[in-house]
Amino acid sequence: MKNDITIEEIWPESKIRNALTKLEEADLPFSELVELLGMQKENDFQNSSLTNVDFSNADLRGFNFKGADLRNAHGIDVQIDQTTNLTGALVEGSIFQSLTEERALFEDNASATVVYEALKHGDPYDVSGWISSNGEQLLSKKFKNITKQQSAILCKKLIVDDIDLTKRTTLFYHLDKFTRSNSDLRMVVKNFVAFHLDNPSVIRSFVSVAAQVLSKDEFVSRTILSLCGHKNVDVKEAAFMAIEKTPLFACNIRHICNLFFSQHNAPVRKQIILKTAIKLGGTYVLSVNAEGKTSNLDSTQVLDYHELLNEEIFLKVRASQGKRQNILSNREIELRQKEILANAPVFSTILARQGTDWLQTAIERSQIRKRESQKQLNSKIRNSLRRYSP
Amino acid sequence: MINQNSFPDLCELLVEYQDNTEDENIQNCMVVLRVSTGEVQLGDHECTVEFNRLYISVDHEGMEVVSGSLFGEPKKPNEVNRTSELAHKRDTKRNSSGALDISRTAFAANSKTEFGYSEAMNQDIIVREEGTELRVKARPNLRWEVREPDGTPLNSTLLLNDRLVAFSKHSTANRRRSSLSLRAKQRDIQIKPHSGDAKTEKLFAYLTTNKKRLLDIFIAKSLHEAATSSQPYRGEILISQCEHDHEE
Repeated sequence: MKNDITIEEIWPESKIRNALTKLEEADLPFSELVELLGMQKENDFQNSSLTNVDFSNADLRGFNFKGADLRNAHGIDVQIDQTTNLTGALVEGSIFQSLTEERALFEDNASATVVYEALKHGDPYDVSGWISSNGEQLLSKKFKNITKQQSAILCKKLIVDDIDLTKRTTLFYHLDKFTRSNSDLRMVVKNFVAFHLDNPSVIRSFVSVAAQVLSKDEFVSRTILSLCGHKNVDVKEAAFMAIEKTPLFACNIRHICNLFFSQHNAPVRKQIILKTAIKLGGTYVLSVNAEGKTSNLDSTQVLDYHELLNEEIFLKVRASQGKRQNILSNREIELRQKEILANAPVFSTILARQGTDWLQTAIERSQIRKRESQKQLNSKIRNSLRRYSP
Repeated sequence: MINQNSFPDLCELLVEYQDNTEDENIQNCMVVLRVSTGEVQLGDHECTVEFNRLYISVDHEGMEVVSGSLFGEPKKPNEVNRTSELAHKRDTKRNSSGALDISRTAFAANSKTEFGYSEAMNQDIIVREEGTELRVKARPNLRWEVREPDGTPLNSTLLLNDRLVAFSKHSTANRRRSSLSLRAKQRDIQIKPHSGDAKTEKLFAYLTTNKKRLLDIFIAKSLHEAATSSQPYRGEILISQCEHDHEE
């Protein structure tokens, strides 16, 4: 150890100044800033102060936060796993609070895993009964020794997991039974957006139920709406589609429209248009691209909303059909584009709210086409069966 | 006796062993601990370095700790004396003025009188509670936590030739040694712009929470590496170390 020198003599000024310059110039997630500064995730963050840090989009796998102060740390899309060490860390009010409770429960209690699997994979109505009865209605003997506190931890874990809609809806409706306060309830939502945005079906399910049940909670609304501005197209698409039929959508229609139709959400719009067109059939797909394709189309090749119902674009689409046997006329292209929009999630709701005059006609027309198409298919099947029957 | 202080102008830990006047087998570990805030340069900016909490830890070999000799033992008595005072003042103000809008079609004249009624109540509630806290508090395993009870940075003499602990010699031990160390966890070190330095305050205000936290950790690590290049950084800075061979 050096001895008898002043802090000024030992102060590594140039090293710190370099670090400061790097920090001033960079706008990166937490884990990338760590890398930029050449810090070591295995050692440097023990006993550290990380209160109110935003861990959004950070990869915290392998980080050692032993003894660190992580109170009120927050973020969305945070990657962690068993290698993220939170031993002895202060986690109150942070996105790690539920996680540490879970880890403690599963480490200390051998039957917790069995009970949790029973909840996750068990009959939806039996599990819903257990939830709504606040644990009184037992699923099996193993549930007998589960305390109220442990039940709460299991429910908070279950609600963000990949479960069916019945269980998730029941969990949301009985949130007050396993959350002690408003902040605890918000912790459930924070936990979800922090760690569970990798599964679009979970996002859709979670967000749609949360937006139905908790739309009046400002924090929940803000958090769900923030998912509509997420960097990942699939997350955004799932979020928009999930809130479409909820009170949250109706209460924030102007903001959501601005968001949905903004420039950087073109990929989301194209993705929805393409998926709807594919569902309706090859001819519909043909009507929304200028490549002349009826299948194997990438969403980037699809027309965006503002390009649809446009005379000039009709000509381009028509021209792209080249030497096809049945070329769609401009009129047919227009009608099919309208039917796509009338059936597309989010678009149809927005257009309905705007009182679009052709919407209902387009819906009816697409339904007629579908019925006729089904009739033709049934007829073909009957004829085939007749041909091959003895 | 070897006393080593990495930043003697910020933290000074001095240790001296004295024979106990009543029992020659016992040695008292007398400690001086002075802590101050420091100012450092960061280019054109001036920053203040402060400690909010420090830990003293003691290791020993070939000796035993004399029971009851620990400084700052926070032993609580069985009986708890508590003084509570509740004062409730109530101050009521009333204002009244009048206004009434009368418009009568049968008469040409209109008259207007305004009136309103408001009542304001101020209530002061005072709760007083007495108790004692320790700046240097003994913790388990021969550790002492040093902090200001109100959470303000350490900036005074905390120990002045106070007996931190007493050791009795093991008759059968062939070696007697003790070591004291003074450490600070990164989360208990504060680096902030020097008060009144607007340029530095602006710089720090510009940094996001994430960047400020990372910079603080980076600085702590750099300080540790500058002071003790041999030991890896584990979120704590070794500020002082005193080793004593009791055979001398």
